[in-house]
This record gives sequence, C-alpha cells and structure tokens, in this order.
Amino acid sequence: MIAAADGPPGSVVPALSRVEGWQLVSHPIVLTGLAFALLGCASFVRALVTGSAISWDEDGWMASVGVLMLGILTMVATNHSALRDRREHTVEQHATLPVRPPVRTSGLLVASLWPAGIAAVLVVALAAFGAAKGLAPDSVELIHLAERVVSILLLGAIGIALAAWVPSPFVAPVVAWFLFFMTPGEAPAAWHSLVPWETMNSTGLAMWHLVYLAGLTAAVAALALAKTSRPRALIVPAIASMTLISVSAVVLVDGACPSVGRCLL
Amino acid sequence: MMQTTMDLTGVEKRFGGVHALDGLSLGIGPGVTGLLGPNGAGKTTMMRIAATVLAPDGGTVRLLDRDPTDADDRVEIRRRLGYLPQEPGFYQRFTAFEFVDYVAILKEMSDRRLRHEEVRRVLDLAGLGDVASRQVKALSGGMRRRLAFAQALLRDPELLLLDEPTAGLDPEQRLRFRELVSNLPNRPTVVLSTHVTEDITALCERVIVIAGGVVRFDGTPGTLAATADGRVWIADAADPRATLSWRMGDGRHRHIGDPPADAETAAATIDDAYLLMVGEVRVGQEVAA
Repeated sequence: MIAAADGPPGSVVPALSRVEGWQLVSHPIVLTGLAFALLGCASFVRALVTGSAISWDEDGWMASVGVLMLGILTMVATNHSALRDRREHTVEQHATLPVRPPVRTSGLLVASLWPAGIAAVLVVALAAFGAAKGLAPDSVELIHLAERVVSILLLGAIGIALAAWVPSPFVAPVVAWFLFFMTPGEAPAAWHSLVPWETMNSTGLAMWHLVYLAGLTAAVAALALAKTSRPRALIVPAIASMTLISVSAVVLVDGACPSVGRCLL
Repeated sequence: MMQTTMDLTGVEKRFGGVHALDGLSLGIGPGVTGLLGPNGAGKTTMMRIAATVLAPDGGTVRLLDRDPTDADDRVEIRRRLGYLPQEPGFYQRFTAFEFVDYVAILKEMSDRRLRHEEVRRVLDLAGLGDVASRQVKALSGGMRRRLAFAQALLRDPELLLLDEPTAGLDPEQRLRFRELVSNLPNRPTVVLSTHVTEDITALCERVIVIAGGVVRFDGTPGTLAATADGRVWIADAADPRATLSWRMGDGRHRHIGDPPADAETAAATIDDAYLLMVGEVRVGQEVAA
C-alpha cells in the first residue's frame, strides 16, 4: 500500500495553493488583467523615460488603475475557480475525498497570493525605475502602492466568498463591473471604495488604510470559510478582523474627514 | 466467517415517494464483486451510500470497519476509498496529469515528489501515460473514462467502487480494464456495478443482483447462470409462451422461460439467468400492481 497521509490536513493547503495559484495566473481572465497592469505601468515608464513625468500622483495613476483591473479580474477568476466543481460536475466525486471543503477554500484563498505577488513585483520594479529616474515615491506613495497589492488579495477573497454564498457564475462579473465604476469613490473616505482616502497625506493615515484593507481581507476570507467551517473555528479570526476594521476606520475617518457623514457616503 | 469490508443492513433510501433501496442487506469482502440490476434498481444509490456521499434514510452501514455517520470515521474511510462515479466530471482546462494530481492532493498527498510518482503510476496503469500532458477537453470519451479510473486508483484503495466503469470503452480498452482490475495489488474489495454481463463473467468471483431496491440473488456467476438451466430453448419460430425471446443471427429463436415438453434446450448463460430473474421480478411487480 502507498503510505497513508503525508502530513496533517493543514499541509495540504500549500500544495493546493500552488496548483490553484498556477491555474489562476495562467487563467485568461487574470492574463487580461495582467495586460492592463502592464499597460498602465508602461504608460508611467514612458513618461519617466521621456522626462515628462512630474509626480506619482500626476503620472502614476494609469499604473494604479492597471493594477486595480488586475485585482478586479482576479476576483472574477477566483470566483470561476471556486465554482469549478459545480461547473464541471465534480462536486460528488470530490466529496468522497478526505480533504474537507474549508481546507480547499483555504488553498484557494492562499492562491490569491500569486497574482498579488506578480503585482508586487510590478510595483516594486516601477518604484525602483522611478527612483533611478529621479522620481522616487515618498513613503505615502509607497504605502499606496502596497495598498494596490493588498487590494488584489481582498478582491480574490471576495470572488471566493461570492462563490460560497451566491454560487452563480453571473454574480462576479456584475460585481466586477460595479466595483470598477465605483472606484475611486466620490467621497474622500467612502467605506466601499478600494482606493479611498485620497486626502490622506500622512504616513500614519496611509498605514491605517493599509490596516483597514488587511482587516477587510481577513473578514472576507472568514466569510468565505464560514459556509463550510465549524462556526467556532472562525470566532477568533472574525473578531480580530472586525477589530482591525473598526479601529482603523475610526482613526481614518477622524483623521481624514472634516465631516463624517459626507465622508462615509 | 467471511471478512467484510462493506456491510449494509436493512438500508433504506427514498427519493420523494420512490423507494430506491428497500431494506437492502449485504456484506462484501475482498475480491471483485459484481452488481447487476436493471436501470432504477438501486445500484447507483447503493454505490453512492458506500462512497459516503449519500446518507441512508434507515438501516446501518459499516465501511472498512468504521461508521460513516461519524465525521472522523468518514474521513478515515475516504482515505482508503476509491470511487469512479457513473458520470464522472473533469476539469476541462487541466491536463490529464494536473487533474489526477489535483485529486491526489485532495487525497492528502502533500509531498510533491511522492505525489507526482503516484500520479504517473496510476496514469500508466490506465494507459494514459502518453497523453498525460494533454488537456482533458482534448481527450476522447474512452480516455476520459480511463482518466476517471486512474484517479480512483490513487493510493491503492482498500475499497474500490466502480460504477459502470466500462461504459464507452472499446473492446480492447475493456480487456485492458479487466486485466488491470484482476491484477490490482493487495486484493482490495472491488465493487463493480455494471450492465455488461461479460465483465461479470470475466472478472467477478461473486455477483449480486439487485432489483426493486433489494437483493434478488447473491452467489457466484456460475451459480447465477445455473438458475436458468433447463429454461433456455431454441426453436425455429418465436414461442409466445417464453418470458423473453429473440431472433439469433442464424435465423432461429432463443427463448427463456418455462419451455414446452419437447423443446430443444440450450446451455444457459449469465445473461439468460439475469434476464429471466429480472423479467420475473418485473412480471411479479406488474401482477402486484
């Protein structure tokens, strides 16, 4: 007989995330997003090379939008992956295997690191090239770049949570469309916007916004797992993520908004 | 006492008002056991219960000496189980290797090197080594069937459930399948649900006929064939007294049922016995109705 399990069930997550990660980054939808990100970065590189770039705010926005598109399309792709068993009629077949659904969901959540990693490489290369051309991003701009990367993780988790709770292939594309057109938000601190708090101009507030996005990512991941996990297993992550979201949101609104009501909507 | 891997006692399963299983009891041990039965007899329902994806409405089930209603036991059963469903699904965008590799991960094989060795082994066993890098959507129907078989063989399961494994296979592939099943190492418990009686004759040491959700016959293929001894006859014309009759290639008619006194009887096959048994069950049900 072949040896029994190679390790505890948790050790399956890295193996699963490698396979799912590769499937994600080779998915035509993510490749399209990557093309948008490269296009956005290329426009900034061109401005840097020709010497017409003035600042990251003025000239780097195309790169930001490109990476945002990568994130939104990653959401569609993770949703597509999470619905694979339904689409390919393998739900029952795979239900006879020992790895439980939450472990599979965890593998897919971790797989979002792949497109996020590619985005990280892109923005680091862009920042390095900018610095070489005499336009190094300042600390706030660096944190904003990091936010784009974390946004990809958040959007990847949203795609998986949508598949868990609304298992229809039509939902994620609609949400993607909606997200693209409501981002950036009208209000300076709109809670729903992925690129909010544009008025933030301090490293502290920018860092808090990063914490806010990380909290949202953890909360959405817990929501994705909640469908198949034992509720007790999610109490600590849920409380931790809600705490992060609440504290960071309070600090941000207090620091960035002259009028709370106007900020949040 | 026979060592059993799969024990079902008084198992009931209803779908709406239909009794798919009506107090089914059987015990199956190592070796190849064939399940025969008409469509809707309850074979697939029984296989799904044995595969731990369907819970019975009544009765008790024990698999590999464990209780599938217990969550931990169920996981342990799944570690030692191989299942080829009647209508297997595939990840179309994956290659054959990637698909089996994915299933291997879900069978808790996390060590990449060992897993890849095992994936190559089962693909070779199923005769798919040469097309391992081909996308599933580019494989023929027979190849996909073998791919589904390959994934069921991962980690040499102790209980292997095969629901119509030879459907869609050409004669050569069917022979290769028989060779493969008969040479499985460590003498696992193989339950083979099929309509192909040749597979039963060629492979199974035991055959169980299910009809109407209960066991109608349990014995060797030879014993099953013997139940039709003296009830098969050949005549030049169709005989209305036969339960079933058909015209053969040479123009004569083969009949099964209760033969007339002067009939020219023929040696019974497992097909004859099965048709006779199922035909009588159906007639009995019609009379009861």
